[in-house]
Amino acid sequence: MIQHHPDDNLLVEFASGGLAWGLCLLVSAHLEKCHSCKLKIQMQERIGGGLLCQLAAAEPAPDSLATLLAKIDGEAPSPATLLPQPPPAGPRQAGYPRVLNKLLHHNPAMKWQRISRGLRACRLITGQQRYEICLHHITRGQQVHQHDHGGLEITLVLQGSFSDAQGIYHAGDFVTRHPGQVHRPTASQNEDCLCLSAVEAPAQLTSIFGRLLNPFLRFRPA
Amino acid sequence: MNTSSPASGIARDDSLSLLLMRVGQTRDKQAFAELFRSYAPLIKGFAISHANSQFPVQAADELVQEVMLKVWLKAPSFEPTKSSANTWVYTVMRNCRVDLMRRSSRRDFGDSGINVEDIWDEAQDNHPLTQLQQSRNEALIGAGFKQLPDEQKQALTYVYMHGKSHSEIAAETGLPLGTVKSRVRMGLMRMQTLLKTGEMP
Repeated sequence: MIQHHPDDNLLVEFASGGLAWGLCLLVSAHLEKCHSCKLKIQMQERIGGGLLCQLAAAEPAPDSLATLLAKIDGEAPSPATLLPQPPPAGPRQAGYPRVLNKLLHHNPAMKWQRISRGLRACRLITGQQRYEICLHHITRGQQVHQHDHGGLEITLVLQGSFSDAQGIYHAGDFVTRHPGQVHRPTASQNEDCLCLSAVEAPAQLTSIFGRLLNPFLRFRPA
Repeated sequence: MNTSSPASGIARDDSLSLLLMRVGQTRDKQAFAELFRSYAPLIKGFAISHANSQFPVQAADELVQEVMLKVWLKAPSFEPTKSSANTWVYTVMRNCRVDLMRRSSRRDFGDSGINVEDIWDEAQDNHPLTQLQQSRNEALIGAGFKQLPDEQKQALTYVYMHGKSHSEIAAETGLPLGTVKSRVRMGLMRMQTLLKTGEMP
């Protein structure tokens, strides 16, 4: 049972297309497993649909419709192109969100780095620069160094569970930590924990010393 | 339909949904042309109000073309039990705008192979509306919106009509981020109640 969700503000940013691409990946992966957030998004999209008529209309270019009809006649796409495409082949895991499997497919050379005892991370190429998107693997029973973050940190639990002073988080949980919310995650004893995380680029990295101490701040967006 | 005031057609929610179904099921180009006359001016208006450095106002007609082409291509997947034509077109429009903005950043940061259809995965929208009533209430949104307190109206305008993130809104208005968030939440709550009950809270 998923207990931790994106807040309504984050969801409406997603529904209205204003959310940063890096975070869209995590929200999308969460929605795949979370019926209640999915319903909220549908509701927020309906508000968007209802507000359409509030827009100030502007006359399109005079030849716009004719151009489009010519394009349609030229293309005549077969109905097959309209069907949902099967997920791509490649390294993928049953039970992972589809969007993650697709991301893994485009990150064939995954390099896992040991961050500290019990913690490994693998940076994913996601075509944006504001958030570092990583897979984090915490060995069962291990505790990650206490850390703060220069920006927003969002963690989506994929497998296993971890806990910190604020709670315990299971697969599907969407955990949001703001700057200043220091925490020290610990994987549960019975299973390794795998998470997908997004860490915002810190506005400023204060000191080399701080960076060395902070495993989540070795920032290299992609 | 009067093309000089295209918004007047929008209140006739059901007729647009019927047109969209005709386009999807029989590939009716006349119905498509009617949809175009209703939606293209709104899409262009949307594009103009969303203009920013990544998405210049010159791209407005490009967005009209892209969105309406998608409407034609995807119309067979439109299911009136799941959403109205307005909501469906809104999501197509949102996706096209994000896609246009993504093109420039893809050039800079590489292609991850993920596209907007992966993020807003329609195939997973397998939850038909539980109450048909909700669909009808959508038409009330416009009127209900006008009754919102100005500060909530402004916040939702930034979100939906300008496609801004909350931190962008805070930067533009000079309001604290927390204030922006609470105004958006309160406005959303009232709109949601309106959708559910048909009455403004």
